[in-house]
Amino acid sequence: MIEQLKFIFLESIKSIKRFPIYSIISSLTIMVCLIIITFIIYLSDITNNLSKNFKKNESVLKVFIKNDINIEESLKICQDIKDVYKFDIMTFEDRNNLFSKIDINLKTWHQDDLEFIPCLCSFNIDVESVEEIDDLSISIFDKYKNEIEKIVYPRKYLVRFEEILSLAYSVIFLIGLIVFIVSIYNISNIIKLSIESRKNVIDILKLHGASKIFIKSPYVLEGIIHGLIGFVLSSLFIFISFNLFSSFAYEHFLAQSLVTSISLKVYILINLIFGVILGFIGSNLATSNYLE
Amino acid sequence: MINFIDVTLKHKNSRGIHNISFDIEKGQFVYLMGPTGAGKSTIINSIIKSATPDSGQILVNNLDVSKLSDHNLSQYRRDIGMVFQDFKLIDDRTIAENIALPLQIIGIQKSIIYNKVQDVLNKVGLKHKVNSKPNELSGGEQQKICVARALIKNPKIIIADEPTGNLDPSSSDDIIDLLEQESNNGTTIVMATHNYPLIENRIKHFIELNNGRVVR
Repeated sequence: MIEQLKFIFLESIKSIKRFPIYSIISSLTIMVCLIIITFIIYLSDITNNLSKNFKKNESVLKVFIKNDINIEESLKICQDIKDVYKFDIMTFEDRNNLFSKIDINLKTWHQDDLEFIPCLCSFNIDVESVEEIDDLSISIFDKYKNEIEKIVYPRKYLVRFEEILSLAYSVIFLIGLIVFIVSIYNISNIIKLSIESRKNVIDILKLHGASKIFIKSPYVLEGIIHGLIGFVLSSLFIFISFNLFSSFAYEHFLAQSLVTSISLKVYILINLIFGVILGFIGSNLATSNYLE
Repeated sequence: MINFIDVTLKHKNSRGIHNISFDIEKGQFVYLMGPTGAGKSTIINSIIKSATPDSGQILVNNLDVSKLSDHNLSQYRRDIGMVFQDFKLIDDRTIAENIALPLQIIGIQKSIIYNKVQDVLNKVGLKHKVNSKPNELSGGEQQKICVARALIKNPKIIIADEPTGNLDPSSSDDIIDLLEQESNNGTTIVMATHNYPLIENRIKHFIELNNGRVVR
């Protein structure tokens, strides 16, 4: 068994030595692919964080209390809604408060008659989708239909935001997929070259009774080694970039929102997994298509 | 040991073998003779299942060769020693590594491999070349290494396809001597050759082929 493993390992190393330029190209392709995959994960994370913050700030449910209910009663109702639905933040504005925000001309017309203005309570809600806000709004309205005039929230705005977000995720995913496929294709071609140059050895092995797995293994291992070299290079790049960006973000307030919530270790681990997977799939594809 | 029963294998250029039948007993040294294109290599390739017959049956040790699965084929080939006209040695490996290859494939221990390599190199008289590379050896020496590689796994059968085709008469004699010595130890040998003068004084059993048919 040890002799077999030794043979497989030495064959794959010899194969790499035989085509150093191609091996470097293959490893660099994997490196680029891993960096792009990392960037895509980073981008998804940032987009997700920004989207959460954006939704938190923008998802505001404005509940207008009927104008025949007095201010004290209105506040009570708002407080009740907050408790029942477990909202964290609530802003209550009585009719005087709202009146101060009204246009100056309107003010002169209605300064003696504020009763038509309802009291308003605004709830900042933390939800994932617009549908959830819809459900919440209906539920509140059904429960307090005698006290509530209407409920308003920026539905169209949030739907548009979700559409843009979904498009952004699709583009990111598509780019990732293309890079992944190109890398696999590239590795596969390099392994094919390797197999082509060792055709006589493969023939000899077959004639001496080597099993399919034994013949395939050095080339699959070669692909995995390319993947590991690509992983080391990309990890180095990511490590340096991560540290440079962290120190930059520390000094610049605006850049702080671009700091990822995923740790460097996780990025490195993802790189390792993807590096090995890329190398394995690429080389396996070449051996399956070519060695059969 | 080896039985061909009405075996036909046609190549694209209409060459091949047609309804060939013969039996080779255990321990026999059989020459496959005939001109180029007579079907010698097709028979050799059929025995090692590098080519599959269109019809007929090939039995080796009562095993139907054409029905072997991939896994069984590799097991089957491990019991057959092969010697080729073009040597089929790996250039970037030393002589010892080349000879050790069949044993490495089946996962034999390093110390055992080392002893066996020394034994077979002794047998072929090339112990001093153990660390050389194939391209540092003459044609005759390379073929001896090829024979040594076939012998290291103590095969029941040795198949030799024109092993003397690229060699001078003296080296050719050495190779046949080695194979005969192995045959005397009970190994069945099938050797294809078109060089009749080389073997006419040695011949015991032969199958003469022409245009894919057995002539004698």
